[in-house]
Amino acid sequence: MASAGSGDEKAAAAAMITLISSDNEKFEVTEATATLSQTIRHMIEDGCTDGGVPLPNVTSKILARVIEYCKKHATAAAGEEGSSSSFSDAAFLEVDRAFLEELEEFDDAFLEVDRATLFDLILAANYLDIKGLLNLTCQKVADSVKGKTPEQIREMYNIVNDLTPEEEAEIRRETQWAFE
Amino acid sequence: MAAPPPSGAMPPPSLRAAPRLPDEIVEDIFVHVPPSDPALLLRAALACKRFARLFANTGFRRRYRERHHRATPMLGFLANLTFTGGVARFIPTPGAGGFCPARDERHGYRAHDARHGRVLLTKLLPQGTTDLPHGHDQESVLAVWDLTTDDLRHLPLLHRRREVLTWNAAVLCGAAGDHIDCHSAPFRMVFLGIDAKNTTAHVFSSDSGEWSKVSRNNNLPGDDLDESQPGVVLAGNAAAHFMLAKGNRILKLDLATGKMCLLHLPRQCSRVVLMAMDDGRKVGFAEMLLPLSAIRLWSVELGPNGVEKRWVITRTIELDKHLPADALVPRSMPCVAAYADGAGVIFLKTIDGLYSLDLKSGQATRIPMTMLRAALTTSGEASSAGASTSSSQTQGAHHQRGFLELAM
Repeated sequence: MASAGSGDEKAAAAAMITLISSDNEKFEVTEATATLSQTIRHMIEDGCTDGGVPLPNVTSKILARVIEYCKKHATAAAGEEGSSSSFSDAAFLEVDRAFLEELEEFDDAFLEVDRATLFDLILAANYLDIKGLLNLTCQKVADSVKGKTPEQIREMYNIVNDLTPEEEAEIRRETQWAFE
Repeated sequence: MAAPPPSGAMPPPSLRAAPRLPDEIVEDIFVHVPPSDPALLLRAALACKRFARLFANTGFRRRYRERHHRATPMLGFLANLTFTGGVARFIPTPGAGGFCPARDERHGYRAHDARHGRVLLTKLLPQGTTDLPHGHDQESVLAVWDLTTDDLRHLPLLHRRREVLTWNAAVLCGAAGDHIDCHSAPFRMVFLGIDAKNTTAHVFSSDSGEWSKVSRNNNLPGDDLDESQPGVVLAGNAAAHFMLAKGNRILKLDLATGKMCLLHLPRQCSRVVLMAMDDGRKVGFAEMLLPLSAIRLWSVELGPNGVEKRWVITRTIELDKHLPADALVPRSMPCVAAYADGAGVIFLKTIDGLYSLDLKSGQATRIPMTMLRAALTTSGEASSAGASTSSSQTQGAHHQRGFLELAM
């Protein structure tokens, strides 16, 4: 995972960008993969990617996963562009559908991580400004809040209850229906 | 590939504690929770003060509203029930999150109109008739009830020279723009009364606590206002519309200019229900085409003089595509009973009971009110409701409420 060398030939011909994690590990990725991140896209546009892009907020473990996501979705974006000109072609639509299903399966599997990793991915997606990944991970966390009590939500988010018993009782009384 | 986890499944527990998320990201996460489960945000708001503050915040609510634009479900409606002697009761929509107001009815009052979480109530008099707010009573018969906070505001008497023979009224939201905070914003109420000489429109403002006359017109429509049917208020409080009793004309009040005029329906229809069309930009109505078991929706196009230029059929809904066969037994005469203003929901009375039909999704929901046989009316609006306490605030559901009158 430390380098993004092999892969499709078109990408190999494209410019490569080096990303440097907080623990100083280097990842070489194609520009197409890297520019799923708006943050990196802006850096490329400003021409400040020579010598690598330091990402002091992202560990190598998380960056590797983020790159895995970006690679997959960069291919998807390229595929969409390719097919848009011939959208009426039934065969193309069929391929698209299969590809979208594969992408969905990839996303589901991608989200099979522990909660702390999921939160780290959200922080990284936010920092790197990768809309798709941020939406995907946030939706996963939002789905998991369903049916949870305030106590369970505190545990999930690692937060301490700072409401006084009186305040809590007052809110519960006003909104009793939500706790039945 | 593993099957997607069941909804509500938690990610596997971590060996390490989850990192603290900044406010912005907590918002990013919670804008994703579905509006159909309003209790979820309230429970999350009880986790800590930071969460409670975040979800009560206008910024979060605006984001939430934008993300789920017009997807707010109708969480319930108000019905004036025969077995309560006409007293309005809040009826939660089945499967819509379980929202219940602090109390589900106000003793002695029936619902007359509802918009943005506020309900216009009229006092039921002992004999079961509703007096008009002109008389010599010590107390006005009109009150506005906030379903979320349970506040009841009695409106002062509206002094008039002549006895009002027929009237209708609509509660208007005073909030400008997007209605994010409209439950705490002031409200207005428009009251239209016809006496022996004039048609007069008055507006009550909750800010000033007073009535003011908007306009008076000595052209009488020669008909009563259909008091069983709530009015339709167009987007931005541009105009209020009330049906006349004979069912072939609509009285329109332009709320900006105070000008009143009559819109003539394209032809005599047996029983039409007034509706807002085109996202609240136009007024229209629904009529049942009985032999076809279909509903036809009409909307008006206005000419430069503010009256109808022409009527356009915007949609025909074949009921057998949405309702089960039990509800459409031949010759059982289903009817359009009511429309929830702002919610895009119509209510259908069928032999199988009451159904709500979401006009956007086409989804029909049977409402378990079999004991009620009815001609009914409704109106409602989306509102974002919150519960607030002195020390902390918690933002809750995005509600839609309507009301429904049942009398047969």
